[in-house]
Amino acid sequence: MIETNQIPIVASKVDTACYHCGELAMSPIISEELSFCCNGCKTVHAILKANNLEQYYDIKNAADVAKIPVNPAKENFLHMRDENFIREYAKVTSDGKMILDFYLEGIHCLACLWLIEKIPELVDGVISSRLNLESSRARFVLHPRCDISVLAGELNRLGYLPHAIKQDDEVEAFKKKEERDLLIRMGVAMACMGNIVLLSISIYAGAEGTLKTQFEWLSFFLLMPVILYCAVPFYANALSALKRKTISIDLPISIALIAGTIGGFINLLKGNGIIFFDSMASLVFLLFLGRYLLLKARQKGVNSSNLEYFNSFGSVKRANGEEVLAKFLKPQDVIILTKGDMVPVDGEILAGTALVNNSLLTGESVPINLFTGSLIFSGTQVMSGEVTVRVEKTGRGTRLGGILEEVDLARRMPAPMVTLADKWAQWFVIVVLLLAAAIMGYFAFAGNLTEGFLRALTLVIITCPCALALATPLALTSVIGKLAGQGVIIRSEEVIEKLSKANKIFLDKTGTLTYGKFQVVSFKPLRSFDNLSSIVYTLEKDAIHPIGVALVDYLKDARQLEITDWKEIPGFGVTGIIDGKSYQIKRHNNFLGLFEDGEVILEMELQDSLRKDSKVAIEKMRELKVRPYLLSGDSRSNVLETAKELEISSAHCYFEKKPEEKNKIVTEKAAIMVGDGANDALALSKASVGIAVKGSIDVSLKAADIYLTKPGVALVTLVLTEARKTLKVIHRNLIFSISYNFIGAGLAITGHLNPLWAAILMPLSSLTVLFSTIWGTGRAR
Amino acid sequence: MNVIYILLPLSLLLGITFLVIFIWSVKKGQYDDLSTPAHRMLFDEEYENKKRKNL
Repeated sequence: MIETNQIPIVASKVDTACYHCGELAMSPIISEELSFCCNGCKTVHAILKANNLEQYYDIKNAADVAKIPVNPAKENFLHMRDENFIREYAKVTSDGKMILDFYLEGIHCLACLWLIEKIPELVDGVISSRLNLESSRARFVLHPRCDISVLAGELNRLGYLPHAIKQDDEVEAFKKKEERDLLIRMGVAMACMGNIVLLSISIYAGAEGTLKTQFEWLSFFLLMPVILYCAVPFYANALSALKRKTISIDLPISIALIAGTIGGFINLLKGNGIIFFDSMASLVFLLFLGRYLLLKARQKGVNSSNLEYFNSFGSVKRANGEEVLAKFLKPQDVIILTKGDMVPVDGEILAGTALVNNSLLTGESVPINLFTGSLIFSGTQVMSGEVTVRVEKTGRGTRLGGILEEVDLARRMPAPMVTLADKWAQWFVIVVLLLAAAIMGYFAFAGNLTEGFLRALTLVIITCPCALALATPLALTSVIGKLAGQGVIIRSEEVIEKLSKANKIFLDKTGTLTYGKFQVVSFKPLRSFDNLSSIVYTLEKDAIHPIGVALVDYLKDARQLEITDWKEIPGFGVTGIIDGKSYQIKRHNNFLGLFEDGEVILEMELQDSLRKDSKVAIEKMRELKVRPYLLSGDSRSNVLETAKELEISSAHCYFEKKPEEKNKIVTEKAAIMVGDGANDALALSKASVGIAVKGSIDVSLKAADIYLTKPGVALVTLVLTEARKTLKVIHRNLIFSISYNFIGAGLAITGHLNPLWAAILMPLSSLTVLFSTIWGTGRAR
Repeated sequence: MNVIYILLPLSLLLGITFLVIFIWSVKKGQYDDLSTPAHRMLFDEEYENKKRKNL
């Protein structure tokens, strides 16, 4: 293979930090004495400067945020002019203004917030813009005649890829109501708990006589809102779990609360014995706190509905030039598909030719040629050429629709995953309940039922997994927030546990480990020529084969020469006559050769090369004891070559695999799957954890558990490390709470439990677990 | 110690007042977005000035 020193280097190889995003740039673009890592960053800087918005950098530098280079997707947003689009996504107010919600990809700090809320000054027709940093959602109020596509284009130029969100008032209102309800219950519980604890302290400190009785009665009344109002969701959950014949953690909580209140009330009437009102109020409050934190974390990163926004089946062009969202297409519509378009429908080609990548449907990575009269299927991608297509089937009726349905099914099929904490808690609950019953039985047999009841009650209350209830959500919250800040979107928190258990990782090659497109890696003239690049450029300029497209891209500064008799022959190459000499570009040994009158004068090599960070990431995976496998639809030689570069043994390589085969391999090994292509979708949904990388298509995103907003696999190692760290913390917390509970239980059964110690130990155990979590996972962003 | 019969109801009343205010503010949506307003207030002033200049 070629040596690295043969790769042409465009700019000087100096490590410089990008002025815009701060990322180290290998070959910086210098402009006005400032260096940038990419054109995206340069453009954003120019926009900011032109609008006197350079304060962005002061705010950003003060914020100390993750480095994310701007990488505007090359998309147009003309489909946002379509009336169907406006009807579906925009809400019109009574005074004629439009309200539009976008999910913005790439929001990461308060500088972003500042910039987005400056949009009214940048784009005409925008009245106001408000961004929610937590959910990355922005709401724009627009003049009735404002062109939405311009707004979207501007957002995209600034580096925030906008995804329109359908405003579903009912769902929104329901979610909002649910969150507020939780918050109010938590607030009430906290207020009651605070007062009860204050009163209890005086009792523990030695209040006696009437004062003690009065304080206890007051505590009892303060507890009532907690038991009768706040804790109602626990009873409801416990009952519904029982109806499904399962035991949820809510069951012992409910039993403890109800039994504890009754027991405490009996003791209160008797005027002696333990009342646990303070412990019960704290229990309810801490449980709500844990649930609220988890809810907040979900809104930040776990939100599965966020994944639905990344809809790459964006827009298509109608024959009359209008852009329209694919989902608004109907049978018999006529559309035009060009290079790079994902085919959104099944249809028949009316005119033109195109090279189409069928890998989703067939697993075949070599593109095929389609002509007038051929059928073209949804989920395939036009590599080059242009075709006019009559729509025949849309949505679920297409072949892709069938696959999507299968993916949906696979997502719903697996038995609900029981998290570790739940599993432990379930056993714990059963043991505690049995033990309580045994104590009751023992004392009843001995003729002292009251004593038995009290001890059993003490046991149930003291063993309530209070600390546990808070610790696990907190650990998950903290890791999810941290990962969200780095551009990792997680569908559900269960994934964290599965991730840390996996010891195999299947990596798709094309587009995941590699850049996914041909790049010129060597350009070696066999004789000296001055206009060699221009000849190649002229020959390949109109070619539709990806190799030609890559060459034109590489030689974009070359001159166009006069050419006659130009022909592109599929499976062979291109030919033409320039300046009286006949030229051909075709395969020559292992190279691509330029032939002048039948003689080779230039050897070129094109390759889909590995991403810069792939190798390091693979090494890190090995350090984490996760064995990397290659799983690709590509040919044997291509896969083995990549494997060699990554030092993956050929025994761990799967090549020429069709989607169904990929799916089978991944299911058998129960492992992590990382991929981007449509042909990975099934495997992603079947894998223990499916990770879709940036650039993935719609189907893959639907199937995946985790979405990485940066291309390449570098983030995978971060996700793995964090998941392991988190699980370690959760384990430590579980062990701590369980042993704490066992000691408490021992004291309770033997009747040694001093109420003062119980009151001190209870919050202390929660606090210990809390600190252990914070210390173990590191501060969330 | 009799003063406790005044202080205790008083403190409870105070607690209930704040609880009511809390519930009211939750219902008003003050807790819907916890992080953005905290950042936004940092540059509101400059933003207002600019608006006024534009008028």
